[in-house]
Amino acid sequence: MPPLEAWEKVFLDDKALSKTHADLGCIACHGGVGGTMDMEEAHQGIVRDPDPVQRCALCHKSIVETYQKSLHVTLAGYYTVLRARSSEEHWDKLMVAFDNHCDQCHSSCGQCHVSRPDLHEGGLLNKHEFKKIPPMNLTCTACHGTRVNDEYKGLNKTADGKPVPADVHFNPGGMSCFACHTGDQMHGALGVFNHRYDGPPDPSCTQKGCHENIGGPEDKVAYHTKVHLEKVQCQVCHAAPYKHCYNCHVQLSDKGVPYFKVEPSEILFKIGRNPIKSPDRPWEYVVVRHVPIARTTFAYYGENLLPNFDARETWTYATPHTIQRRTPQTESCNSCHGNADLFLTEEFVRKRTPDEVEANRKVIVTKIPAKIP
Amino acid sequence: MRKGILRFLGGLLGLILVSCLARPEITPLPPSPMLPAIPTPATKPVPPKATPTPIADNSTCIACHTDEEALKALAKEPEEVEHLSEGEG
Repeated sequence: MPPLEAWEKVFLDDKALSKTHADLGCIACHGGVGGTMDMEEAHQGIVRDPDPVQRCALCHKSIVETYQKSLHVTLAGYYTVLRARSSEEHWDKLMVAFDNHCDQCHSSCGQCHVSRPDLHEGGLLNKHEFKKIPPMNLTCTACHGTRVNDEYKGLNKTADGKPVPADVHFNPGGMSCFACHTGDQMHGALGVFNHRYDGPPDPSCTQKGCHENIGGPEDKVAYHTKVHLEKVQCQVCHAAPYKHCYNCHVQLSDKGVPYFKVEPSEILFKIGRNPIKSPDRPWEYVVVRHVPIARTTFAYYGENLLPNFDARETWTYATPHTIQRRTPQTESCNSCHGNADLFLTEEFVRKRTPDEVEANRKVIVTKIPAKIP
Repeated sequence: MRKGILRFLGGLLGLILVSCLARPEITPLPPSPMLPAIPTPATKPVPPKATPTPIADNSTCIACHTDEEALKALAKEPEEVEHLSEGEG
């Protein structure tokens, strides 16, 4: 997403403001000094991104209350995985790294409904129009670009150059992010979570209004047997290959500018064992994605900051945005049965990420489902 | 006849005297616990007369930020920071 020019970022159309918001006036939310044409004086005390609690909550109280507990604000998911891999004695050093490299991934009300996210240098979405439904290409995929955007829109190619088709929900479905990821989910109204995969799947493939008849009497798909539906996550059959990232390392330049280096990504498809099996996610087999963490990701900030690295898998439970009705897995029974290439085996992990075999014991498939004669 | 009048007057006097005797103290009955308490209408506090908040003069903000030429002339590009990151973020 190319950044806006400096003037474009702050160019507004007072007609684009809703009547209600316009009535508040600029200074009520942004501060600054009115009645002067002197730029410096006018911008004294200016607040570029008004505080939701101080401003938005005056009218949108309930949303602001729950929003503060949403993962977009708390970043609890990051803390959960870092706590598992680190320890109390290393936490302070780790948090220095976190503040430098990860903490920008916040979102405020304004950074979805009025402007582009800070992570992408901000700039008004449409001349300060308040967008009830944010434009996904300028907000959601601005941050969730590398994996979600490229997968959802079909921008990836496999190692042998084959294009991976767009997710059917995008093409031909034409569904935006918000068709599945609701305002309630974004605003943290569904509860307090420590990780995005806490609680039942949301969105769920079989939720009301979606594929709610799967496994029911009207379902004529032969592969939708009771055993398959109980043991296999939907994506195992219906996801096309998706992105895996490896070995991200973070550090500061001589001038103190944070930066990262990450290995080239890969487009693969891998089935592993479910590391977060629960009544809500009862499947034995799920698709797994390698996340960019490495044992030495934070080495610049101190030695061995992730002493419990093996406590959490690096090939993690995944929900790729590459859904297809028909995939190589659905071609025949033996596309999966007896096909070790599709599974996350110890042999594969030893070859691709040799330092991570112990971390992935929980997800490594030890017994490939037998070939159907 | 006279006797009758005297008796009547005597009776009347007796009644008057009895009515003048000290009355026993009347203890009020406690309110029945079965009856719901009747809320006493609270006196509503009179809200202070709303004083209009002075709305800051936004006209100069709007004038400048809707003027494309002025913004192009005044807006400064942020200082170029070094881009050292490698790979997909």
